[in-house]
Amino acid sequence: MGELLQLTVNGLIAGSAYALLALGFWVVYGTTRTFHFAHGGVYTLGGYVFYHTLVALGAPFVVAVAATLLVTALLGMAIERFVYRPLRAIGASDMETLLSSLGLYVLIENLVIIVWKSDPRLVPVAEPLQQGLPFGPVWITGLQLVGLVASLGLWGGLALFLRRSRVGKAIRALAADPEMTEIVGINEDRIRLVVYAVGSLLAGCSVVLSAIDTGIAPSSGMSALLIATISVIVGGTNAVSGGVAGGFLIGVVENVGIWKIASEWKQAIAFGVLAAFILLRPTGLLGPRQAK
Amino acid sequence: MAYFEIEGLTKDFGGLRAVDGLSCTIEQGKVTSLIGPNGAGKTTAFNLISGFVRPSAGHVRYRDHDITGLGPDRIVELGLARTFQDLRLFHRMTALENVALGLQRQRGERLAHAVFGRAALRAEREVARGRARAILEELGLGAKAGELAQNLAYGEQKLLAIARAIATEADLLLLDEPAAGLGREATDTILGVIRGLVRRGRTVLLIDHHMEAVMDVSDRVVVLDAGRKIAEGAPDEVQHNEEVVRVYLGL
Amino acid sequence: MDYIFYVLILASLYAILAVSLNLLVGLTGLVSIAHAGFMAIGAYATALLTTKAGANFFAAAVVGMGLAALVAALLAVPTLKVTGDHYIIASFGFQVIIISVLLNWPALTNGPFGISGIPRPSLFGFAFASYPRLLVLAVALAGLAGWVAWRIAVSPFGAVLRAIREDEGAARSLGKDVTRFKVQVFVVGCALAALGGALYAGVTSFIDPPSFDIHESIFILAIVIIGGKGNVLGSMLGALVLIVLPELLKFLAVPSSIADPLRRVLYGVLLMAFMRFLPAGLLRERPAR
Repeated sequence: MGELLQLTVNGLIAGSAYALLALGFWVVYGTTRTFHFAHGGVYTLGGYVFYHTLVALGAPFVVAVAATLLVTALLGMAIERFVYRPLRAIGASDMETLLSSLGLYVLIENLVIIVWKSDPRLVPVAEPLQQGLPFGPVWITGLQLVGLVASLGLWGGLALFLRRSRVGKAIRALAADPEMTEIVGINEDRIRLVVYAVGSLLAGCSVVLSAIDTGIAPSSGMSALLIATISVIVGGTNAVSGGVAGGFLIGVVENVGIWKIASEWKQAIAFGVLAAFILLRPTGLLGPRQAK
Repeated sequence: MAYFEIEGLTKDFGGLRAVDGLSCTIEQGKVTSLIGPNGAGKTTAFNLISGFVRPSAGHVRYRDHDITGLGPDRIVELGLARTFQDLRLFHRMTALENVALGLQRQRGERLAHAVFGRAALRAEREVARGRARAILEELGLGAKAGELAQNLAYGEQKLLAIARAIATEADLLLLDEPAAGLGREATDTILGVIRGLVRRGRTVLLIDHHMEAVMDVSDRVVVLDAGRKIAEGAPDEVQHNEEVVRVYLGL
Repeated sequence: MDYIFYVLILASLYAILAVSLNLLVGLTGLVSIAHAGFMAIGAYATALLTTKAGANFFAAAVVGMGLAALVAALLAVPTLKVTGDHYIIASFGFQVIIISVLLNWPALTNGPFGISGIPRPSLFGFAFASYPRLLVLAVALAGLAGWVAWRIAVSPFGAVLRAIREDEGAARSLGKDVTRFKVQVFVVGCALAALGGALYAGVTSFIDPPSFDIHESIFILAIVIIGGKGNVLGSMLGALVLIVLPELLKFLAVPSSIADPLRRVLYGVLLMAFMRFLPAGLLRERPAR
């Protein structure tokens, strides 16, 4: 019983990381409906920038994080400005945009391999953070705690931003009704830039938290993207909270799942959940009852 | 046994009842029109009948068969075909190809035949093209057979949609707003086509908003409002029905 | 000289994979990134049957194709209702699950260590042991796959697939059983992918899970798109271009450690460039006559 509880807690903590991933992806997908495959590339590059600044250049932690966030935000915006906007201008179809994004992902992942080689890189983390601390019947490491707090904090921050700020409201308007926003005088192109900046920043946060836990490898972005998209689909694409709910669900199911199933099947479990939802409730956990 | 009948047809979308206990029969070889203000449930009724939407309650019977809840493909096989308000033509195919797709029981649509039956397929293709071309000629589109559907004028596209449905050899044709958005001349052409179909023994059920055209071509009119049938009868009966007038004038 | 043969054999192999994926993506609009997974089924079936059961290559390949067809049929039905982005993710999922199975079931697949010592194909004593002979086999199989795909594309069956691609509802309104068409084309496409996998096993003599991962699937998709969606010859041309072109890189004295990622950078860039400037691909789709 204690083991199950521990696994559930692990699951919730992993879920918080997945939720953050889902948030970053959703900010772009949910609002612009572009399947931003290259988001995985932004994630990966961000991770390597973090690693390089921290380990290869020996910079302080804060500087490394700042560099990461700067690079990811800029890259995200550049992708929107120089890849997606020209495609929109020539009336490219959704499939064409997705394929372009796929090509971009391949480009980024392999540039990373050329520069940093393909073996995974580890980031040294302060010893004390790796210690498990007892919280009643369960153990949580300092690292997990940091991750959990950061994820929840960012979720809260994003929610506030979307609800309270003018830009945030414009983003929600764009998500709900793109045609209306142009009429009402909101500059769609500029909002999109903000959307990509925010989504990429969240990816940057995610990768930093992940890198200090398990390091970074060229395929990290792909795995992250997978979890993000599964979470968003499972949770429902309509609202911000959709991806979050999906992320937590996947985290818990994965970790509780390995109680009985060998841990190598983790990814397969995640897809199993996805398959179940696609078959039984395609609009997701928090989506409307019936698809429109 | 009625040729075609609907009994207590009902559809709920969440909290909204789009079609409410609709019952009526259609006579073979006649033109029946379904009219009513916007949102009255006419297109939903079409969707229910043609298998695109599952009814919440009620039955649809065509000849001997209970076609309630069957899929659209099965219903076409049984002899009932429809057009769409927004046409839904295959824009990147030619007019001829669009109509040819309506033909039923093509052996070339079976995978094994497609791969291995070259000689037989060629013969079948000739026959198919011939039939498709004949249908296009009858509707006055013969010259446009090789044009891409997206390059046709709007009126021609509307005719093409009907041609496609005719190609299925369906006996009962459901035409959703066949004359919408057309001028006087084009509307007359469409009405001529509908009369031609009936002369050939087919049965037509149509939705339209052109009151004059509807009254002109229909043998029978059914009026819907808020999902319910509020009147039914010959065109002049319905035209003078108080309830109908009230509903249309919004009083 | 052997090297040139090898490159051409590879190009023929990818022609098979591209032509079969084109049936799904190009003709029917089913964007799948699970093709390498089905290739793996064919490869592993062939490898296991020839090494463990001493079966003949061709017999083993047919079994592999049958297995892939079965899996495809099972998979096709639940994914029928799924469209667009969801479909791609679902195919992604299947691809990942296949690789998981290959990696984590060592009793059957030898896990990450792969299967080695796969014999070269032979038929009635005639062994396709040398590269020239393998090339003949590869080209013949590519021709076969291309022929099947072409027959489908120009037939009324293919016309219905194109109709489904453009507007599924309209196709149903004309009495087409869309489910049957989608399942059938999916089964054929995946069976041909398995054929490619079998050939791959016979040529390289060693297979392991990473050879069939998501990057492979994406590469095959890139070939289809760059070659030209819906054009069978285009897929073959695309395979030739995307296999031969990067080999020319080798003449540019590029260090071998970055040759592979550089090759991929190349096709990533090409994919983006084509979507921006030539979305129809090298050979555009021709209407059926």
